[in-house]
Order: sequence, then structure tokens, then C-alpha cells
Amino acid sequence: MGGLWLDWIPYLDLAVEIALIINLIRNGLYRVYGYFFAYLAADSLETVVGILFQTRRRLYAEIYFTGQSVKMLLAVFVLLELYQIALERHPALARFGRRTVSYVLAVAALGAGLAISLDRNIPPGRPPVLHRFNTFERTMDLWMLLFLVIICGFMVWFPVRLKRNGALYIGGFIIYFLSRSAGLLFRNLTPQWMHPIDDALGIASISCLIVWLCALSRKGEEVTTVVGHRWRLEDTKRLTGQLEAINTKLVRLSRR
Amino acid sequence: MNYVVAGGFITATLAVVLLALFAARLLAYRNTHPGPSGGDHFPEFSLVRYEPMLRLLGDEDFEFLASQPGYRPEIGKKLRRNRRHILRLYLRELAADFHRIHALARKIVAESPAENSNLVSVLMRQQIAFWRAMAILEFRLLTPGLGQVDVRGLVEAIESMRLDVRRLAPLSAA
Repeated sequence: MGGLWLDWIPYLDLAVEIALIINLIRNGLYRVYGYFFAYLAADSLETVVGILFQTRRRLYAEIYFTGQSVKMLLAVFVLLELYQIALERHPALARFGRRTVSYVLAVAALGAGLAISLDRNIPPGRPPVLHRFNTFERTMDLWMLLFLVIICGFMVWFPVRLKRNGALYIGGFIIYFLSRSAGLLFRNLTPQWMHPIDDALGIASISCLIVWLCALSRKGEEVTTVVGHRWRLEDTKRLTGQLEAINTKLVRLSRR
Repeated sequence: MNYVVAGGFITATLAVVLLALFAARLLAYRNTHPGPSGGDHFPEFSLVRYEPMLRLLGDEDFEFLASQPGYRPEIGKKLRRNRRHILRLYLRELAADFHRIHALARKIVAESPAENSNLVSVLMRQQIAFWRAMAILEFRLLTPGLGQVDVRGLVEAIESMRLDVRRLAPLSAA
């Protein structure tokens, strides 16, 4: 029974994904989260084509490599879209974000690159092309995960008020990239556990899709704004002046 | 057994433990408590209360004490230890003021127009500079033999900041 259930994971994944796509069209959110919609569509198409040709191993492998490559490219645009959506109501932060996004991507890539040699050795019997492609794929997933973590840290540090949909979007992709990056690493290190790892990856993906299906809605686009003081540039200058003076003195104190 | 590898492992473990303890000490300066005003209001910031820091580790009191009949080195050591503890309490207050002001500045910048985007990097630099200075200060306090701690400059800058604040106050009241 357990084995029969696990064989249905890809089909359940596809069904939930198609339901999510329909939901995004129905409530018009496909216009707001365009690249997310494209990513889901590409994943669904890859799954359908893969299921149709799953008995032809070489063709299936080509479908997998092509599909995953397209999704990796779309994932980069998903992240940039997410970054823009999160900061759109904060003009100063958004402009700073646009100026520094390339540096953040570079730092995240550096971090991801440090883990590239974790599965350098190819276990006996494992196809080298598949092994190296998995390494490339998990490095890309780790890169995107680190980028997401950095911008989440930035948003938490500043009081960025997110739409509920935006928060779900970000949270879902953090879990998704974390599970994919870890799962592909373990798949390379312990190929004998490939099937349970693939099933775990499928369950993680389905979980994210179900949360998005249930929680992404038109209402989630509303932002509750709190009317506070109307601050002026002079106030900011006064505060930064105070901070600068404190730091100057701490530095002088520490140098003596 | 490879003693070099074992020795390296032990050294690395000790270094990690020491770094973790040092980081834990620094985190004590992270905790803030409500100041004279909180929330969206401009924080009250009094520089006068940090002036006693000037004397805490100055040499005058210790030299005077050493010149007194019946002085023993243990008395001087105990006094230094107590004064170091008090200085840390003052630094915690100063850190709390910094965090309070910085949190409000971040909130303002988050609501600012795009023209103020340069303030984001200013605030980041200030945060990094603050933690770097606190780390150096704490290291000096933990290692008394490695250089003196002189808070004279701190009080001078605090006074100059107080004058800047007084100068800017009429602008914000307008």
C-alpha cells in the first residue's frame, strides 16, 4: 500500500499544480506573479511530457535536462519578481535594492559555489552526466535559496510590510529551494536511496503547492497600512547624526 | 594517531568555543529596553548621563588609592574589576540608545521616497561600525593587559552630538 501511494506522488503533484494554475487565472493573480505562473506552467508541461515518455529512458533524460534548465532560468526571474514585489511600496528600499541586486546575487553565488565540491566523487554505477547535472541543479537551488535568505533578512531588518500573498510566495520558495538543494545533494551522495529521496522531494513540492493553492487569493493582495507620524528628511538626518556620533566615539574609545 | 591533526582539531574547537562565548557577550548589547519614549515618537536622548564613564577606568583614582597606607594590590584589582563591570552597564545603556535610534531611523527610511535611498547604505554602515567598535571594546575589557580603555573621547563626541541635536531641533519643530 505504501509503495502504491508513493508511485502516485508525481500524478498528485501534477494535479495540485494544475489546480493552482487554474486558481491563479481565476483570481487574476497570474498578472501580478507572471514569472511564478510561467514557472508553474513550465513545470507542469515538463511533468506531462515526462509521464508520456517515461518508458523511453534516453528521451526521458533529455526531457528532464531541458525542463530543469528552463525552470532554473525562470526561477531567477521569479526571484527578481519577488524582490520587486516585496519592496514596491518602499521606494527608498526599492531603489537601493535595484542598485545592489547584482552584488547580492554575486554574494549568494559565492556562498553556493563553496558547496560545489561536496559531491565531487561520482559513486560507482551512477551515470556521470546525471551526477554532474544534479550538482549544477542543487548549486543553482542553493544560490537562489541564499539570495532569498539575504533579501528576507534585509526585509526583516527594515520594517517592510508584505502582502500576505508576498509572504506566502517567499516562504514557499524558501522551503522549495531548501528541499531541492538538500535532496539533490543526498541523491548524489547516496544514490541507493534515490527513490525515497525523490519521493520526499515530491512531498515537499506538493506541500508548497497545496499551501499556495489554499492561501493565495485576491484578498491577500491587500496591505494593511498604519498611519503614523509623517516624518521629514530633517528627522532622518538628526537620527543618523546621533548614530554617527555614537559610533565615532566608540571607535575612538576602542583605538586608545 | 596523528598528533598534528588531533592538535589542530583541539585548537579549532577551542577557537570556536571562545568565539561563541565572545559572540554571546556581544549579544548582551543587543537586548534593548524601553527608553524614556518608544514607539513612533522621537527618542529622548540624554548625553549627560554618560559623563561618569570618563572617570571609571582613569588612572587617577587607582594612583590615589595606591598611595594610601595599607594598600594592597588585591584592592586595586578588585576596584578595576568593579569599575569594568560598571563600564559594561554604561555601554549597555549606550547600546540600547543606539538600537532605539537606529530602529526608528530604519522605520523612517522604509517609508521614505526614492531620493533617500542613499540613507539605506548609511544605516548599514553605521550598524557595522557600531558592532565593530563594540567588539573591540569588549575584547579590550576582556584582556586588561592589552591596552587601556579611555572613554574621554567618547564623552567629547557625545557632547558634540548633543550640540548637533540642539542645532537641528528647531528644524524639526517647524
